[in-house]
Amino acid sequence: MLVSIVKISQLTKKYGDVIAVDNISLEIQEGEIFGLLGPNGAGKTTTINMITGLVSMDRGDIWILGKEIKRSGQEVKKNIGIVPQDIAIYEDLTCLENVMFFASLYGLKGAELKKRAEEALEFTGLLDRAKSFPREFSGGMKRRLNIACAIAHRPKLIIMDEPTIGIDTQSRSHILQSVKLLNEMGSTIIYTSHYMEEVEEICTRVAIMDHGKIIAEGTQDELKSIVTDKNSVWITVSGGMDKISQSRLKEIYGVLSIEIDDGVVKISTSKDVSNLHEIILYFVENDIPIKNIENKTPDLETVFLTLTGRKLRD
Amino acid sequence: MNNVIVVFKKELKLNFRAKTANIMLILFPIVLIIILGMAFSSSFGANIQLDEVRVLYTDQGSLQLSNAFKEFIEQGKKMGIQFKEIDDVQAGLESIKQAEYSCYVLLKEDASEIELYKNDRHYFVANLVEAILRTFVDRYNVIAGIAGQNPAMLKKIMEENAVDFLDVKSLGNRRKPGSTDYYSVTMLTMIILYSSFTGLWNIKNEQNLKTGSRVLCGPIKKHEFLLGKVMGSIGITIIQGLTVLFFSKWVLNAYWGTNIMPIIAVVVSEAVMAVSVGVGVAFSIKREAITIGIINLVVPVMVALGGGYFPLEELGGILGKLSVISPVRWMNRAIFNAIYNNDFSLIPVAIIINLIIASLFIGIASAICRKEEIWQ
Repeated sequence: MLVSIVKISQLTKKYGDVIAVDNISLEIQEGEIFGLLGPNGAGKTTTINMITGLVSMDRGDIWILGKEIKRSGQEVKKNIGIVPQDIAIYEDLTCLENVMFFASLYGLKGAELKKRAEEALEFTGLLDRAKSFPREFSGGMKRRLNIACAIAHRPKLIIMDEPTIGIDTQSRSHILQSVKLLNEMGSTIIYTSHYMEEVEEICTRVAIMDHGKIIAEGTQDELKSIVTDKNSVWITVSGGMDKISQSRLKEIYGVLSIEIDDGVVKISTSKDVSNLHEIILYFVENDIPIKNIENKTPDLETVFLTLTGRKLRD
Repeated sequence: MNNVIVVFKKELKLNFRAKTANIMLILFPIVLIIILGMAFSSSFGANIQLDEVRVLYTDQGSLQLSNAFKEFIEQGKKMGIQFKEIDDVQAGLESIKQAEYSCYVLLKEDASEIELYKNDRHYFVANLVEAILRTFVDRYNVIAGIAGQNPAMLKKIMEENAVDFLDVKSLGNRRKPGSTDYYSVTMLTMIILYSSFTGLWNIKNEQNLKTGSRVLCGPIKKHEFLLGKVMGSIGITIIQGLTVLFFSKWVLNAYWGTNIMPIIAVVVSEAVMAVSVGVGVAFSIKREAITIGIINLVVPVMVALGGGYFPLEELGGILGKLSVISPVRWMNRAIFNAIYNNDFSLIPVAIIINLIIASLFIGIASAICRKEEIWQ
């Protein structure tokens, strides 16, 4: 049975005349990695800030673990770990002291506090730097410490607000692996990002936000199916162009259209039909040398582009 | 309460590690005490020369009071104090306004009233006369009281003890601050006032580093966070202040009087006030440069008006009148009076002024820190 860990109903927040969050409703189930995808200024961080109680809501309700945050804010917060968009750590406290300070706000004390803090540092690969000051760290290491400070108290819900901004590929990969691992260890994750690739890599379900509204929500397949019921296969050949017969190719079940462009055969197929092997077989049987095959399924960027007419990072 | 202690301990730790601030708030005043103490040593006498003390008085008192006061004058003259009688009260008051005399004593017809007018330009000397006069008045009142109730007893006392209206022995111990003594007090009160920067930075840093908003995402209330931060800032300021005080006392041999506890109470109250001002300013004004500018402007003015850079008796005219707005003036006076006149009456006044200012700014801070945009 699915257990709702976060339930948001008709949530609205205005700043003057600007509607930052516009009447959104969401339900996030226990065990999910829920992606909140949208461009800068879409309302993701404001939504997160309302979930954590940092920003008051103008209208609507939020329930965490079945408790309304308006009434049980302090109690509910004990189950949340927040990884803020900005690196929010004290440069004059060591790594261990930083993690211990934030964890102690959640009621951890004494030996248990130190043990959990060390575990969090070990998880983020910083245990050997426990006594170092973060001012000596690279951006990626600071981001990892930013995460360690959020997980030592073992929260049931971890909210990560753009946790990979401004870091190198290696650190980003480390963080994404950490998110998956935290999820496997039992935490539900809300992951906001404007990087489509990250959301595609780790999230089980996604809501796309724009101008304060949720414009689409569902699994990745569900979202992609919104924009198209077709798949595209691009086959690059290294010769034998004269042997290609578009009419013969169209006889393959599920093939809808064919376009040949500068050595690339772009074949559009019905999404529900699995016919790639038959297409390849056609090329092999007709002795047409294949150089490359690309399966051009629509990505979330395409979904966003289709729904809004803009790119995510415009 | 656990959250307050957690934040308090974090604040102390962070502030102990703030090397620049500690150098500024501990080493800087000590260096200033040494430099100013040496530079102005000739301008300060270790003891008050009583022959410099000039007292003007008008005698409208009863015969009994007049006779007693004459006795007081005789004793004073033996110590070198110069007395001059004047009949016109207005002229007497004008002389004091012009600082021609150290102080003016008016014996009124009502035997219970002796008025003393001082000019701040003769601060220490006038305070000395006031202390002597208070001794006289106390003794006069006791003797007059006994005479009214039981004349026979009075005769016995006077025969047995040959009562003087003035305890001459106490004057032998009177001293005036040397330059190191003086600047130990004024640099201490000055540097604690500069600790408003501690309060300011401790809030601004939480805003700049975004750690404040992160903390408040946790199960902690805003007032707990603010209380922990303010307590931590006050704690470090008190430690810094007491370090300067005891360094000046034990290493520089500055004189801090015979009872240092009331002075420590003033130091603590000033730490509370200074940190509260910094915290209040930090919340009230968003732009950091403006907050720094305000504190950098106000603190030196308050210190100057409080006699921080040169002795109070140098201040005259408008500056002298303006000085009442400076909490530093009240603190310095309270401390000097306690040290050199054994008069602790201004200590609670200085503490109350500090606490009123602190309450005002903490009230402002508490109101503004509830606004959510402050932490974003």
